[in-house]
Amino acid sequence: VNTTARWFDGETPTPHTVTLSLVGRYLTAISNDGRSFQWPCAEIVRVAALPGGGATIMPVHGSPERLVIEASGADATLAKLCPNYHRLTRFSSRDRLTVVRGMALIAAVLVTVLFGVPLAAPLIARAVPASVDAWLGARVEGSALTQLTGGAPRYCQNAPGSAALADLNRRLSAAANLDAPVSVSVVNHSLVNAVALPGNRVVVFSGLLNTLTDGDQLAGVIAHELGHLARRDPMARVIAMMIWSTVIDGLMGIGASGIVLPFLNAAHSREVETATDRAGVAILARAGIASEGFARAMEQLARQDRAGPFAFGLLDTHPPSLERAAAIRAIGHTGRAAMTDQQWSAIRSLCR
Amino acid sequence: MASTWRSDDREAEWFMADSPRVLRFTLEAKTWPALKLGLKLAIWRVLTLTLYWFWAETRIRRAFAHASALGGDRFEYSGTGLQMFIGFLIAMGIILPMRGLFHLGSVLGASAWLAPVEGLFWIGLWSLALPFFAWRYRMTNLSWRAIRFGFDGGFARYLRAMALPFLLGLLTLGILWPRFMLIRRRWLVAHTRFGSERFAVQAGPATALWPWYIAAGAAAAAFLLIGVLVATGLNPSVSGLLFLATFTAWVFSLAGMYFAIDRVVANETLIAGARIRAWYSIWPLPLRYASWLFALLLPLALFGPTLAAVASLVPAQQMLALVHLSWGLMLLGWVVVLFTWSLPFVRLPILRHMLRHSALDGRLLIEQVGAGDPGRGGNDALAALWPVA
Repeated sequence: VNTTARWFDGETPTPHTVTLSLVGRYLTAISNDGRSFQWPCAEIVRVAALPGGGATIMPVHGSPERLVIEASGADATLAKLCPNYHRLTRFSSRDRLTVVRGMALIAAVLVTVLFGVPLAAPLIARAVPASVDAWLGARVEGSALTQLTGGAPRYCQNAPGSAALADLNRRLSAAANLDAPVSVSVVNHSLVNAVALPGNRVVVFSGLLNTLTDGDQLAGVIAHELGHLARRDPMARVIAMMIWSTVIDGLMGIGASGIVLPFLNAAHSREVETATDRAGVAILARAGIASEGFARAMEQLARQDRAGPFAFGLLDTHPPSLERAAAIRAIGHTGRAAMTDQQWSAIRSLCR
Repeated sequence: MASTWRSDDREAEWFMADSPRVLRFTLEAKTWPALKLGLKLAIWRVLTLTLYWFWAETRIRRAFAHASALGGDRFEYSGTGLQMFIGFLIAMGIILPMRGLFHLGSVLGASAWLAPVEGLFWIGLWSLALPFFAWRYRMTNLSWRAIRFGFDGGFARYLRAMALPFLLGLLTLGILWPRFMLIRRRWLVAHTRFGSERFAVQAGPATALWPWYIAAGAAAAAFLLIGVLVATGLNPSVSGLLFLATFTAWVFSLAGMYFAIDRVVANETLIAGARIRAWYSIWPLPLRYASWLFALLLPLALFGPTLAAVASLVPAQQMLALVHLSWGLMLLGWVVVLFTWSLPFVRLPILRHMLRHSALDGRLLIEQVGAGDPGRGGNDALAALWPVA
């Protein structure tokens, strides 16, 4: 087989016309200026195919030289004769191994993120010293409430209301066996919620006080929040969110956690809330307070939440309130009232 | 010839006339094989949990480089998927800890002063570091007539040169951003070599950027007018449509600006005694951003009214999740942009248009070009994160 080709020596961009022939398993070339070359087929590697059946080849693998053979059929002929012809464009075994290892790594990271983080976060949270917990709590409360209220949060206080709340807090905290005193405060905001924060802090929003109808209901909600503190859930949540956000943003792109985290957090959070309801009932029992108010608080919240679950409940951070009420009643107990009517009125009037 | 920002139609016609002293760029690639390649690579990406992207991107770059030719001689791309993958891992080693630190800072309530620092970090990463590493990686892996291109610029020198234009771009709220991009491109080209021969950039006045300034000014005026109309009681759906139309026009002009900068610098560039000429039209090119824009705006257009409707129904604690979701959908839009952008059949018509309207003018003094050390290129970390570069 004789044909002409353009040869580039890799030293200058000047093309040289050469006459090619295949002799046995060697490709030989004679340039117009009389120089001759011989390349073994085993060293020839294709750089790319050319339209019409030609090819650009590297006569010696790794060298900068190039041969551009336009002749039709050259590509097929060389592919047949040269064992390493497709070496450059083939998905090599090394590449394959890298992809397989990478997939295994991604799978391991996903499993860790989905299952390992919720398991590890509470363990890490328990190892965090109380001083760090308290320091973090002060900062989280400050930044979260400022973000929520759009300015400095207004804490509600008056002598009878604060005294009644402190009395309830003292009895429930003692029943919760917490290692440090708990701060329960009321913030003027329409949010119908209460939150537990690191550093043994509980914040009740006035929207919740306006929704609940008696002191037993409030005791149930605060017992639930103390249950979170006893389990170190707030610190565990901060740790889990930080790990999730970092890993997800890293793997999927900055900001991707905005899509994934609400779902991931909600799925994990529902299990935590169910367990915390049980802890809340146990705290009420140890304090000698009836758990019926806790169940009624959930029913009251269910009445408030008329829209029903959004996105098939996938984004709900808590189980449906009526289900929670039924679960609380199933393990409920009798006891005395959490506070007098006067005390409840005093607490309710804190923000008024 | 399509209309251009420069009055160079006659010059363009002259180039089209196959003058003997002109080396033309060509692209010999068909849409159907590009479509098949794109679909095949997309399937592989799904099967490998997107990990095949690095190898897929390499195959696309190889195919496109080899389909592109100057004076009938094809280009060659020698980067590998493995290099890009290793680069990605290195980049993750930088980005993940930084992301974790910023997140920790915001949890600790330092978001007031940390947010601008974080913003500056990510903007700097995207507009300073990534373009530099992407350019260096590509240039050191490109060759023509068996001579490798190379890159001599050091990152520290680059940062020193770019610091002022970059900060001016930010401090003027983007007004001087195109100027920064122009300076950045000139610097990168001026530190690129073909073998032993360095590219030279003869910077001239960037008059081609004026349409961008006019478009940006018109968009700002339009946004202001819409605000005034809303304040005087204009129907919200009408003002929404006006906003969308203005935003669309602004994004198109932004995309046009990118190509304008490409073309300005191309026409300022000399190599081995020859000058690059580019006369591709600017405005049709942003059409490649149609999918970009569509993917970005559709979730917004659909989700905005939905969010407003749902907001009145759902309890307050779910609002936060909804806000997260809305941001998520926007980001999804960007993901779609990046994904569609990387498909070869999306890039092909644009590249073809650009190459068909570019040439090397003057006799290329190839005898003075020797093989040079391409310079450091290797596993350049951040190149992997710059699929749109």
